[in-house]
Amino acid sequence: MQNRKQEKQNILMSAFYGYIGEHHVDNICDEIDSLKEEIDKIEIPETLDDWFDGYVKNARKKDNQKRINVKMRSISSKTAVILLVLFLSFVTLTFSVEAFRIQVFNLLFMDHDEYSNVKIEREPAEDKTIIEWDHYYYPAYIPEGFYIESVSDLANVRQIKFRNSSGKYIDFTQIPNGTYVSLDTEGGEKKDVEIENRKAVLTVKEGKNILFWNNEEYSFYLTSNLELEKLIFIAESLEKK
Amino acid sequence: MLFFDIVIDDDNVRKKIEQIYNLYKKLLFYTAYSILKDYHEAEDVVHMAIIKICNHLDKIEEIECNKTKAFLVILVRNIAINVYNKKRRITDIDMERLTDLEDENINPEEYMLKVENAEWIARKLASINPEYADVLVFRYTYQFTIEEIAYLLNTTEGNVRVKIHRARKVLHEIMKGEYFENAE
Repeated sequence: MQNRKQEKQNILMSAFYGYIGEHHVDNICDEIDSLKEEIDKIEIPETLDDWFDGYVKNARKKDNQKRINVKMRSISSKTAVILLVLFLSFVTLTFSVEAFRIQVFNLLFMDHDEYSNVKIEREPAEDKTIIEWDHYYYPAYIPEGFYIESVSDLANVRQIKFRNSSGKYIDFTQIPNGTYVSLDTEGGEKKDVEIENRKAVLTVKEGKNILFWNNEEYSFYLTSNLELEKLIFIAESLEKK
Repeated sequence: MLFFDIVIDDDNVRKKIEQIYNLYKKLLFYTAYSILKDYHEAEDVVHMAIIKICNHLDKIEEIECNKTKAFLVILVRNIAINVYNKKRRITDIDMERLTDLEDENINPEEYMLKVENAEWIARKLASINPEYADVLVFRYTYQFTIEEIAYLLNTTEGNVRVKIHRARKVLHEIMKGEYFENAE
């Protein structure tokens, strides 16, 4: 009860102090008014105005920066949401639509394939065997990436097999004229071509080209899954060793 | 030149502080200079005051009025007095006496709340110690917290409490009639 009474008295006194304060405010203002002329005469240093201008300008700059930051934060969060939605859609499509999944996997495999090719092209192919014959023909031009996989010499039938890493092959066979050899050209499409102004026969069968021609000494066969133009280059580049 | 962190958040606030500065810059500078008698120090005090005003702009409802004018004068005057005291190594308040803070019980009836004498009491208090009158106004008229007053007047909360306590004590003495013999 005593505390409550004291509390009420304190409220009353606080209000009274406030009321006295109001008079103090009025007294200050009266004093200022009496000094008005003197106050108006005072010269303000220019540096004070400069400081204030700089202060407000700086505040504006900081304010703009703050606004930009808020905007950027908002944009970046929206972008993150969009990317997340795209990623989730991609994942959902990959796992639920077979055609899409195949496309994705193909893309990945293709990439891997290209990577492998680049790696192989950097390192020159090395022959796995050496030719130790005398008096033989050898193509001066062999496409890049091919290496000699094997050589054989059976009853004057000499064969050199070239391979590359992507499954292409060139089998070059040379036989002294007059030797009987049977070639698997049955059912193939045949046509005449020219190699160094000499007549040659091309047979195209089951995705491979078989080129047959001869000179005064030898008959030659080139069997390959390379295109015809390259085979003709190879054939025309023969040199005697 | 002084640099402080700026808290002017939007255009309206900026316009308000620009209006206050343009209207009262001479008064602010005059008040600070009349205490410090040094252009550079007076300028620094005005800087400090502007920054403090920016942090309490919400307390200023109307720019061109007696209440705002007096608030600015009290603010600059007290900052300037603090600067003056610090420069001359005068301690603001004897901190050892902070324990003497218990308010005596006040009975308004005892003083009969001499409402008609309020103006004279205010004048008397200010003549005894203007700082007491100023701190009382900040606390009871402008309704600032102790923490806010400490920030505005560049002093500690302990000092503010001591000043308010002493201001009330002097007021009670005035109201008891101890100073009435000097009444006009």
